[in-house]
Amino acid sequence: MYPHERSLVKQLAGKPFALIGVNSDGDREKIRETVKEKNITWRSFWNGPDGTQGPISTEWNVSGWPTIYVMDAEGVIRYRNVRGEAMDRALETLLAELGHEMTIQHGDEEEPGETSGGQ
Amino acid sequence: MRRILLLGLLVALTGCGEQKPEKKKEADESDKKTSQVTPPETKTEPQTAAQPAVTPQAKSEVAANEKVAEPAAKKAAGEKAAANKAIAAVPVKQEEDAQGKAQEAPESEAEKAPNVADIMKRFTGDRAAFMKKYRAADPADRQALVANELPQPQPYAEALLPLVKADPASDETRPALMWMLSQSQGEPKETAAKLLVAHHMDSEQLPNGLFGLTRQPPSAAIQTMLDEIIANATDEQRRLKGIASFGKAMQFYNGQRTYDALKGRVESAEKDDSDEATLAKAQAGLDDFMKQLSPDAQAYYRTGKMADGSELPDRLEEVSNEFGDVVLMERGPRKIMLGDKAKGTIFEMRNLAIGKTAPDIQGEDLDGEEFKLSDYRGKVVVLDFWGDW
Repeated sequence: MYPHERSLVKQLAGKPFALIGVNSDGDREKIRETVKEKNITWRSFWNGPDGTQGPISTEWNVSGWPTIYVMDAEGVIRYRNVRGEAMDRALETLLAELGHEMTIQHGDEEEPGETSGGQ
Repeated sequence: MRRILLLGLLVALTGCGEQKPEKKKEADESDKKTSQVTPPETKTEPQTAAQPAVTPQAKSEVAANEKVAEPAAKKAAGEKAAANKAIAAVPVKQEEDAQGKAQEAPESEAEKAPNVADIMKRFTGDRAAFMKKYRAADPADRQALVANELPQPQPYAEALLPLVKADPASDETRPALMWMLSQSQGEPKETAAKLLVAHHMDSEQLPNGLFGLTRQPPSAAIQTMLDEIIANATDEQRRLKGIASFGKAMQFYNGQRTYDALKGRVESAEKDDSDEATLAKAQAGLDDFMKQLSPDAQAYYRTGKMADGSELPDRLEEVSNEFGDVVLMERGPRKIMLGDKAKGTIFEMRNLAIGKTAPDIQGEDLDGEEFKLSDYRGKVVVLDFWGDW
């Protein structure tokens, strides 16, 4: 997962796009280290010390991880749980609505020494 | 893409009866979200279609291994692998035991017609033998192996049919009935539903078994059974009635994923100008799914509303108002109340559906700085619930 996310963040730099996480690791210090180590550059809400039982995931009724929502520029939910190339196509559609026609190359940005996605 | 759909279908068709449903939900979701068939050893796929984790015997063992909080259950690949090993190990052992006994037994005993337990054991053993072969196989061959050789429950359920009819009320028959109800189709499923209502309403296991069925799509057989349970439950059977009412509504919600997947397959076959055979196959998949559903469920998936025009979240809210204090299940010291479980689902259906404006989130980032989801209005936003486990 991280490699695909890194690739998206890199390709969509300068576009009206944001990747926002809701992190459900209960130990904030530990996850801060992980974020540094794995070059996770996007911002995350912290779901609190109760981890997966925290307030944000509870309100959003999340029971499987990762769970993904994609919102348009108006904040309207347009896609749920799209991943990989399906997510690339979804983002192309929503960016085109804002006048940013583009083709996202599906790809992974591996960190040195990283074997596969962390999620 | 087709592989996910196949997987989703298999999961839908082979969902379990008496097990911890929360666990299953998680498995369903990772099935849906993972873009390829993953072998059962990997941590993101607790229950793939290929896994034999569907027999009552194996389940009771697995349940013991899985009495852990959700985060812990997802955390360690090692633990997951251990749980998977336990799933496989149990039936293998049983198979050996059964063979051992057969060899020791006098000839007349060995030739005796199989009873309910024998058939259940045979299914478990056959699934375990398949898993052994699956693990030994080249990963490239595994998908074909699942498609061609994974033992399907239906023939075993058909073999059980005369036996459960002959002895419907016994304690040995009850788990077989629950299994037939959740695993089989057609006559075995319908018969199991009728016999459970007729003979096992008093069983302490029935409410838990019903909760397990919550993950299944709203088939006519199960929905009818739930109606009968609701109509016939006594005041002492309030928990049973509450879980049946909850399950009846939740099946609509949970079947949505399978419906969406099958419908999406038809739509993409139409869009891609696929050959006629592909389109016909996709359409047949959708038709088969719809055909088994209750009339109310068919109306719901076609129109988004129940046959009488009512909305699903309203119906679930009625159930929650009446039975909110019913304990759905206990996980260690933690009791999961029907009202709490329903609340989240009602919120999701009303506020988190495609086309709704996302509720705002206000919170701290990992560095402790406050921010809001709505700070990002004007941008396309991917919101990713994640964890590093």
